Amino acid sequence: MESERLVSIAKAVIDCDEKTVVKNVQRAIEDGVSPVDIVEKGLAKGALEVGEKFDRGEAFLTEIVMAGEAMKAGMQLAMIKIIEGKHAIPTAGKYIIGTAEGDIHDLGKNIVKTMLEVSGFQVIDLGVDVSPARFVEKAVELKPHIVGVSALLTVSLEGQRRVIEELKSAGMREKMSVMVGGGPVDEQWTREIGADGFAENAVSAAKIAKQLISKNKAI
Amino acid sequence: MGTKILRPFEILSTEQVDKIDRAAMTVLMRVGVKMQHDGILKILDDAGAEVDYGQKVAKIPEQLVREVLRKAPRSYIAYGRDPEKACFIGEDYVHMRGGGTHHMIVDPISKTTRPATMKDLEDGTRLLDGLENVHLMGNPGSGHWTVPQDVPVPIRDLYEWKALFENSGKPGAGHTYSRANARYIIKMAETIAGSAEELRSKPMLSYECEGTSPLVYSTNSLEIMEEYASRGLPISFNPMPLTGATSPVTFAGTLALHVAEILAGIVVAQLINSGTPVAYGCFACAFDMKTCVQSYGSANAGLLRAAEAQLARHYRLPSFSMALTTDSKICDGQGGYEMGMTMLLCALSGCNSNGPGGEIGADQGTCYEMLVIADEIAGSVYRIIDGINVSEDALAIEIIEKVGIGGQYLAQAHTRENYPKEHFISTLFDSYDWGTWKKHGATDLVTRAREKAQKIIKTHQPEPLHGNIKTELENILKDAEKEILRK
Repeated sequence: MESERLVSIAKAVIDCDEKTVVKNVQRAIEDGVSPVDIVEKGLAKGALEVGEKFDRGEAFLTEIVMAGEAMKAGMQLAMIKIIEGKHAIPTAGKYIIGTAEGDIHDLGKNIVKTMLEVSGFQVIDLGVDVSPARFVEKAVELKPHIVGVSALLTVSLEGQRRVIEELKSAGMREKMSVMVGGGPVDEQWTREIGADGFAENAVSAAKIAKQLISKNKAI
Repeated sequence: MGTKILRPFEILSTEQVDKIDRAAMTVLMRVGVKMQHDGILKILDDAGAEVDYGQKVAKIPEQLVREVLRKAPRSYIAYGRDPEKACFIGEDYVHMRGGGTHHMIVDPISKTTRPATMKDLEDGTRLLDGLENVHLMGNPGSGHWTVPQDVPVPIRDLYEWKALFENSGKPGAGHTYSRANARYIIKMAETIAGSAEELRSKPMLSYECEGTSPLVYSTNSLEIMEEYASRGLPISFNPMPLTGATSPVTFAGTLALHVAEILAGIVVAQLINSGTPVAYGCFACAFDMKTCVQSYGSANAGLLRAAEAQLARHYRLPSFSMALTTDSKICDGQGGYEMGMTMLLCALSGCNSNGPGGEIGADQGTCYEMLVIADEIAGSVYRIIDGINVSEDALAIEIIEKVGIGGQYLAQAHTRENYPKEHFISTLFDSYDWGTWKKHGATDLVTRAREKAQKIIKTHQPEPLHGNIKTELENILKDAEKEILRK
């Protein structure tokens, strides 16, 4: 019964069927299924499968985004129960993301955000044209594992550098990893500004984020 | 310079064009366009648009758009330092634009990449100057040959323009990062032209105003646009909606949204300074949902280009396209097919400026070899659209009578005279028999392209820049460094 409920949740996520996800999560909660299992063995499992299909070239981006939305709708319900039951929140890590100052392009950032979410991250999106001061303010407040700064325009690369500099000034740099991404970002730039990682696409962004977190845990 | 096509190809019916036009007008009136610039919102407000200053959205009435389109210039001439290299932009004249536009240099033989340097920028600019079929250089918005990684980020655009002016006499373009940078770039061009008035009458600059789809023009883009428009310098409007991501997934929906974005920009430029040369950017992108890449070379991209070029002609606007590029990472069959297909479709559809040849891997790299191949493709496409001469001499009835039945034409003076005039003769593509090809080293296209690029870079001497102007450009760059890097 319990595993049937979880399978049906995962299947509805894979089918990008938000209504059925919500209905199945409600039923599972009513049936007394653990809300942590609903997240880990139902919602996240389904989302992960869509992510893997995308990685193999068997699913389209629109399916990832829609599966992500369906997963989040189910998460909202499960989270209420998790908080009520004082369970530990199942998450791969906390990730603050935003587009660098002077840049209003957000498609790439949004795709990375979706990929992180379907990979189990709790993502806080600061939006576009985010000042370094705002990144630091939120980093101090939320203490994320990772801060991610996106830039499409060459000229907004400086915004990535300044986030790192201001995290250092605030004494926060050692407490979190910084990832950078976007069209003009490469390994050389990542090294030059002292970021911890960069990814060429959204799938590898999620993988690198997980690697950074496990590396930091080992330390 | 330029080749004019006699009868442009039309992929859309008249009825389809009208339906897209109506949809675009509806978007402009019902949804509007976000202009993150209060001064520009005020200009639109005064001209009759319905403006929400809080949301920064202007709903633009059809009557205003039509009125502006009636007055907008149908064409302009793009100048470089060398007056003989000037290009007429408009009226079905077709040009190739060259420019890798990227921070990464791709080596298609070793399949590796490396960061671009100032030397690459200078070498590539001389190569562009030396290639016969490259008429225009660089992409006004997305950069010139490369974005050099060994100079400071905030003024890389100034280095691009300086390298262009020093190493080429052709009309060109590069990035413009901000209003402050625009003023220094324009100052460089005014120094070469002699005065602001000279530059206005013979524009050596242009700006590509890239709106951010869907339906947004950023503060920075609009500020730069103001600098160019107020001086009457050409502006192309090239928002790049991505099908299914930042515009409807259907091509008709993307075209309607794109037309609305472009026309909104053109309305603003004309209201700032009536008569400013403007161009329609055929840059809508087919978004690949499997790879998250905006495709520049696929059939989807080609289809969009043909339709957009037709729409630009419908509005009687000069046009720029994204063509002659490829999604392939190397100089392979896919690369050749995609560059040729998109270039031919754009040229047949009467699009004026097509490129940037030399860009590779779906907007991810600059490639010397691919530029040389693109130049050869452009040459062949110029020949195709030049069409068939059907004069009395070309019909050659006298020669047919003279040779008669069963003879041959090889020894005829008519043949000797007309062969190089009528036929496209490639110096790069191979058409030897198998034995001769092997005797000549059995080379492949990319190897020959590399040899040609190296030879031109080594030997080509661009029209020199006078010593005192060179010094003045250097001083402008120093001033910019002081002001912009200090910030």
